[in-house]
Amino acid sequence: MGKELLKKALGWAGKKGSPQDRPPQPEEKRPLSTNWDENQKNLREVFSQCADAVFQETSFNAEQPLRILLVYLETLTDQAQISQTIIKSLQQGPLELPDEVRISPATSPEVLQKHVLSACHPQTSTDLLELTKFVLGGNIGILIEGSSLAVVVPAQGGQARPINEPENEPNIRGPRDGFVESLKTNISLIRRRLRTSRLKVETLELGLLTKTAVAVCYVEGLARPEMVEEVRRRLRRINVDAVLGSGYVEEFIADESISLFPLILTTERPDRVTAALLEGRIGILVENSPSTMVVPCTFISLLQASEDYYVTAPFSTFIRLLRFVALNIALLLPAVTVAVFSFHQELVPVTLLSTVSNTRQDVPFPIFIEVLLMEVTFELLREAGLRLPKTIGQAVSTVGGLVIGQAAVEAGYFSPLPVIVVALTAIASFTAPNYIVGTSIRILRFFLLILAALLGGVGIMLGLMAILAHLTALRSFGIPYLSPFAPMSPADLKDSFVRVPWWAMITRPRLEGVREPQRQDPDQGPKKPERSGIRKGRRRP
Amino acid sequence: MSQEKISGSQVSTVLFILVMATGVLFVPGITARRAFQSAWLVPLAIPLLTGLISLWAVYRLGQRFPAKTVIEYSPLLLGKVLGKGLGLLYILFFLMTNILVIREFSVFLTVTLLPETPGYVLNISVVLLAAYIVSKGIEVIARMAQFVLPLFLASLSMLLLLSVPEMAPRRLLPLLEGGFLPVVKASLVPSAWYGEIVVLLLLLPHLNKPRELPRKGVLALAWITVFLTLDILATLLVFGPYLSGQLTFPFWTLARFIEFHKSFSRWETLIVILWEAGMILKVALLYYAACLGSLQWLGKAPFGWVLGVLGGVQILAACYLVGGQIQLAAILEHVFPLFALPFEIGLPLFLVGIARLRNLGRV
Amino acid sequence: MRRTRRYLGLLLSLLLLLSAGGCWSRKDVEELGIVTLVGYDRIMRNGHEMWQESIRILSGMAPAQGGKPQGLSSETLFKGTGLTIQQAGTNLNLRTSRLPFYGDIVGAIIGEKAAEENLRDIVDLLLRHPQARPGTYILVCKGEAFNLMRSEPEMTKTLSKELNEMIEQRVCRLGVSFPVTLAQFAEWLLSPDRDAVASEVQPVYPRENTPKTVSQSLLVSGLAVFRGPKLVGFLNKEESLGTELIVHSLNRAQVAIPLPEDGRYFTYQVMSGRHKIIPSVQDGKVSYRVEIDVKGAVFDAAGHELSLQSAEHVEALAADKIRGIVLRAVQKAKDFRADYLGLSQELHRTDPAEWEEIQPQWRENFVEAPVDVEVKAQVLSSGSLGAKLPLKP
Repeated sequence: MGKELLKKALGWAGKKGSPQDRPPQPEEKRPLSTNWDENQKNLREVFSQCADAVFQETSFNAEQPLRILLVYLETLTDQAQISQTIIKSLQQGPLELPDEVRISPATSPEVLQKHVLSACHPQTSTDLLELTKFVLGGNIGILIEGSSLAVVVPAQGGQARPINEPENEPNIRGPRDGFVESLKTNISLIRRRLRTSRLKVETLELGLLTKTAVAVCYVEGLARPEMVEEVRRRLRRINVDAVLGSGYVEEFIADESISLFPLILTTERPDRVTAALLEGRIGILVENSPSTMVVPCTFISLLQASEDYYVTAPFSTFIRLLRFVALNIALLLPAVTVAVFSFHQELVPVTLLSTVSNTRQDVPFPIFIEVLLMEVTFELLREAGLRLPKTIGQAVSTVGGLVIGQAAVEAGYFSPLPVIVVALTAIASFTAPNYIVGTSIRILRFFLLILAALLGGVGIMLGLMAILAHLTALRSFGIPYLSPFAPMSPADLKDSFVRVPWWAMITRPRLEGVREPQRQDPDQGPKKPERSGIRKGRRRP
Repeated sequence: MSQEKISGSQVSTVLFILVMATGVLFVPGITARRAFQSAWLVPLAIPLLTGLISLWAVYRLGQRFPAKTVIEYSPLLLGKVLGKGLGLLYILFFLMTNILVIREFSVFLTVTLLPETPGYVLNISVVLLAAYIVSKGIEVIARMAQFVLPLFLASLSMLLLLSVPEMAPRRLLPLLEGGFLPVVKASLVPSAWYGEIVVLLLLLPHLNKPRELPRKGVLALAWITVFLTLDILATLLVFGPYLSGQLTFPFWTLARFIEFHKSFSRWETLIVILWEAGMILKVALLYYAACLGSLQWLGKAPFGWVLGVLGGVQILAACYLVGGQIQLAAILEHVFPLFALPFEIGLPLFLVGIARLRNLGRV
Repeated sequence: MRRTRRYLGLLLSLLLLLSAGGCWSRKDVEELGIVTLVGYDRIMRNGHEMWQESIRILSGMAPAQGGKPQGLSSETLFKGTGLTIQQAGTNLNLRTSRLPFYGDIVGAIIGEKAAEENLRDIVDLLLRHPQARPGTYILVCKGEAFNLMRSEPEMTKTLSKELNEMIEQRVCRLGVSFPVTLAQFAEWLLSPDRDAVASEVQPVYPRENTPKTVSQSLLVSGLAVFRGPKLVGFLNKEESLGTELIVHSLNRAQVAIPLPEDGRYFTYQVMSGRHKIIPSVQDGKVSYRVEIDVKGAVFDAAGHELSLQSAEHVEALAADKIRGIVLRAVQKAKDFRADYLGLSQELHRTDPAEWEEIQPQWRENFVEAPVDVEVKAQVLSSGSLGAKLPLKP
């Protein structure tokens, strides 16, 4: 019942949104007729009020010129290709045809397909609606006088963002390319890294209106077939009108209806997705969204960056431990501060205690309120800095962080302690390589802060145990979220808080890569050159 | 709920935390009061044996009745009425033990960290949290135990290491003063805690490889003994037997005493971390056992309902049935062992005997 | 779905419950008065014997406008009396605006009378109190502890800091006393086989500086001796040194030794010492042998030549002198009829059967038992000069 209430509160989950009320999907066929004018009229009707739809009439220079209508959306097509290749071919093509080819209304589509436009890989369509769909997909529809068969020439183009380094996941040593909005480009980025036919890419279309293509990528033989099937099943279950980003899909296919922690890993780095595919995971790419989903996701993978695999193993281990410490600071520091200074003063050395006590003599609020207010202020600043243009955003953080903090302390509204604590917390929280896990930490920080204000350290521990229970109960596509720690699989600890050198990464993670556990030959580690003639002239035979 | 499986190593982790959670704080004082400087020998003998016997009996019963809990097979062994009665007794046993554990939790915290906080707040918080954990099932309890164990061991070892500079080995002399009798006398309470592994009577069907139980159980008991001995040794070596015997929570006092380079003193936070995490898990585990038992005893009952009723009973009983620190200490020292040991070794052995006599179950 | 429901419901109810009740144990830092030293006394007030508790609380001036906030830099003394210690504390609390916080006590000073009559109450309270720490130093003074609590620091900002530094850094290097923590003190009091000692704290009246900086300060020197739970007396510096050599592994002490040739004194500086007590039983008679092994240096040689041969001589002299000191300390213990040296404890540890027999009259046994002391002294260093500074006559 609670969930019903919640649903109602969140989104009118009652009758309004139920599938019965959805307008029926126009599935019926509308075959093209042989009447060119009628076809043309119908098509113009379909695209009426579409300013970017172009209807270009031209003729096909046969013995008896045939009228031809090119239909395309200028916003989705490559103008240069249309004018230089297609129109040129249509006008000049017939002249270069072999003699035996005769052009009549009936044969013209075939002639176009096989000879005139063969370089463009044309397809044909007999249905008006199918043709519409093609046009909406960035193809050029060609209606030929007297033929009920339309030729479709792919000419996708239009503005696309070039491949850039993903801003949220910068890298120092690894590759710099990042996913863009185009699904094809994205798949190509993966394929370039995985030149094997075992990389399977299955696409399906989601969204009644948006017709967003979604691709499921996996490496055959590594990914468990039942998991792939589960991904397909969950994706097919989605029936929405629009999918505008991977976030839309993510919330539909996650295991828990509401979880504070991301149950699906999102990344903009193709190398990261590829590495995940090689561990037996499954990538889900969504058209028009550079952030790509990887399932199953474990908690520890949210604390790992692809950079970790490109730098040396000891450094990577150090960085990961540092990140873990930072995660704990980001989660706990405000709560611990409140607990220690309001409940367990005996834990503070007396000099620090007296200093803090003295700075707090004339401030109006108790320490809990101070920390809470500062945290809220910080969250505001952070959000403000994020949404503003970069240059202004920096100004906002500077003004907010330095000036407000300094002024509040100098004016005596706040004691310096919460300012320092919140600043440290903020710095620590920026080390999270995954933005989403950062957000869960931010929410939980407040939860723990309140508990700390009520029961001190005991409250924090109660809260942590509740979080731990939540985390251990989570599963992402059947894989326990806290693996390899709980349940413990010792072999997989090699790539957790530590990262062993690549020559020691012999097996894939136990739970995901169970089908083909061995990743590489063992004993490939660098070996010292055998001791040869240098010492005492001794030489091995 | 019944399809969930836990692995052998998870079982040993769970058992370790089950016994150590209370043991680490209460055992040094209770044993030192009776056996003085020989207290560290206590866990090595009778309690370990109790644990082993209990484990053996549970394993034997599990072999005869695989995939069944004591609630399910006791009617087969003893007849419907007696068997059901025994099942009810076991449920009550786990419930009572848990009530004591909950009270230990709140008493310790009100004595040490939160003197002004009313006990009922802590009772309610821990029971609610445990109910949340129990609702997620035994798998979650086992995994949490696995996650908590490294923290538990790390902070325990840290404390033990830090107390080394304060230790004086001569405090252990004379060894075995007054013979073995004091050691035997001091064994009663720890034995009852060791015997808590009898919770396996209900967990056994959840094991994915029941054959591993003897190995994993003995492993858990061995580690419990090692750490409990070290725990007692540390308090004895730092405070001597006489002061250790007087302190209610000697290990807590030890954590307050030791320091590292003056500036790093006050290690009692570590104790709170290891102990509280362990206690919450222990409460959850016993709560789970009581819940599972009740579900099976009642036949068909909604899980949420049983969970709620048992939770309410535990909260009320912990608030009103058990008194303050003095009553609790008296109960733990004088009543609890006599109440618990029959359930922990008496009845399991009795059931094994009956099963053998009547030749029931798989042989 | 059921899971979500339960999850939300439980967490919400937990939060609601907790927030409904309030924050019971919360006490913000600024509300606390950090107690640094406590003193306990028994006094006569209107014909009644009462407890008197005096505490020093850290306090400080609020920083001047625009000034950097400083740590609390001075201490305020409060005194309260009552029928019980707790009541004395409460009466004292009436005057302080802050909640006294006992978690940072450096030491507890026990007045002579309280130590003689009601030591148990104090130790009991200190061990029971959730804030008091087992590492607190136990100090005993002659007369009223309150008088000592009125002392002012000479070198540091607060008396507690000065006392703490004295105990931790100076006292154990001078051989005049040694620090005794609450845990150690309680262990001694509880042991059936030995008595307790505690450091003695004394007032000093500095006159060196003009104008006078403070009128009264304090120092830690000597030991207070207990028989059972009763204070029976104090040891002077030399007796303390002798006691320390037997009880404690000491690390620094100075012993002034007269040269037999010309009667001038030189100083033997003890750098480290080890002790061993060997009880032996013959025909039901207990005797003890105390072996003391000290290593040290001679810097203040008083013109004595420190050559290879003379070193042996010096070592013999030092050993002899130390033996005398230790023997006097043992005699003092026998005079007090208090075995704070741990001789009986050693007997208990090594020969439990014999201990069983003599336990009922173990103190008498200790007084009667002959104690033999063997001292081995070594000179390891003589500073950065050669054998002797050859000044022209």
